[in-house]
Amino acid sequence: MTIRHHINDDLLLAYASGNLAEGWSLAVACHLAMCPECRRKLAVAEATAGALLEELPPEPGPENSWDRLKARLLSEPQEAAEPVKRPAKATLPEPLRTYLGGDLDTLKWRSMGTAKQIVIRTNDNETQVRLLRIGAGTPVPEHTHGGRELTLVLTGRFHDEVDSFGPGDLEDADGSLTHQPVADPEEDCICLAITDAPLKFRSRFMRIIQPFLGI
Amino acid sequence: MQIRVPEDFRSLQGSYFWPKRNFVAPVIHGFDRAVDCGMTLAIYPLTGKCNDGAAMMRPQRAAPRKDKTRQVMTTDQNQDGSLPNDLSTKLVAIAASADMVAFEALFREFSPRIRAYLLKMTRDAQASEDLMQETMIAIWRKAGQFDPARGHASAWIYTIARNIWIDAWRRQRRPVFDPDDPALVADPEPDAPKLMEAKENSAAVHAALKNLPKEQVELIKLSFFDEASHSTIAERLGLPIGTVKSRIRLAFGRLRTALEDLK
Repeated sequence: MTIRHHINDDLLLAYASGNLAEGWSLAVACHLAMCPECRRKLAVAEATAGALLEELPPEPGPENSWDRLKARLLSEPQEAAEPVKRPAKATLPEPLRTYLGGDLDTLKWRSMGTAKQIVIRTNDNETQVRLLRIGAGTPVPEHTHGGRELTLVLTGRFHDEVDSFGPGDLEDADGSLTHQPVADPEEDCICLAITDAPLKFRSRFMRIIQPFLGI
Repeated sequence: MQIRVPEDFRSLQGSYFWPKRNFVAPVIHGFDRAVDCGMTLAIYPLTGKCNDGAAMMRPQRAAPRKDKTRQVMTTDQNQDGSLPNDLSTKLVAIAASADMVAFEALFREFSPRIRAYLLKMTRDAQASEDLMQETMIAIWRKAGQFDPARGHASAWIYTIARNIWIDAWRRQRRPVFDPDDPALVADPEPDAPKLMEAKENSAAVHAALKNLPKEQVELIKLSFFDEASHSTIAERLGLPIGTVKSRIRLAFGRLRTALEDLK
């Protein structure tokens, strides 16, 4: 697998510093699972953060800080963490399987025209996360960019007027991009798509006309 | 050969039982990483329950390492250690033998910095103290997962503090890849970032940071130690956001080149 579209530095640093919302972070983490090169970049970013942490001026705390911690260690019952159970083989990478509750063969897709989708829930309220299965040779549905969109190809390929995306490729598109991505004819394309969460209106009237306004 | 029993275990051992009777399970490890100066036998209870129902957390035991050449020093050799450089050694000792002495030393040395980081991220003294405590507990429990070959000790500690901040303060989960996942695409050149001793690596990052222009280091610091977006940082510095982003990219790129040149 040759990945040509990587995590850019802005995104990588936002992820490394913890300032990236959970939805975007999921796409970044899955790309990292598929891309050794970006894992090395992340290691440099985290090593830098660690070195800067060592250089931070110490912040004095309460005098009993250590006693409090020691008391907790001695008094709180706590089983050692269970060893992680891993399957012998997997198609989708972690952390995606955990978010979906299983691997590709266990998923329940919801039909959406020529494509199928699964909505993935996160705890942030700024993104919408979906797993898309785009039928071979068919266009990616509902493709209007209101804002940023991250698309990570997991299996198959898609292409648009200017470029082509295969497994592990991460497309980072902002609102300025208008394109019509189409899955390659050989096989279905499964990708993880993160978009800005749609605006939520309180007014029922606004919710009804929202699709027509395109917001 | 020396036999060491962790201090806190010694005082408590009479009250440990497993499963219902007084029973101490000796766990001997370290044979695969014995060093010329001798080896350490660590003895600790398998389940940490006391008669009074209290229990003691025990860090996960480190998986035996295959690398026989890596030296693991006992804490006795590190009494003076106030330098962050021996963080790695302390973590290994904590994992190997629930070493409370090493853990206290690590706490005294490093927790004020963890607190400083969390204070920057939360701007709340009480929260920074509480989250620092959570971080230290997590370090104690997860010490066995720390692998010096996979990164610097301070970087590992940073990621733990950061993840606790994300979880407790931002109330979001932290999606991370699993390095042992069967679906993970392995590095075709596992030695590509040449695995130097954690100490040297950390020194290399410090040196690379010293060679960067001051304002670039400041921007990198701001992006790690401030819960602020690039646009907020730009506003604060009175710079266009494009400039802030390109300066951060430039600084990070230079750091990366400096570190790659070393290998």
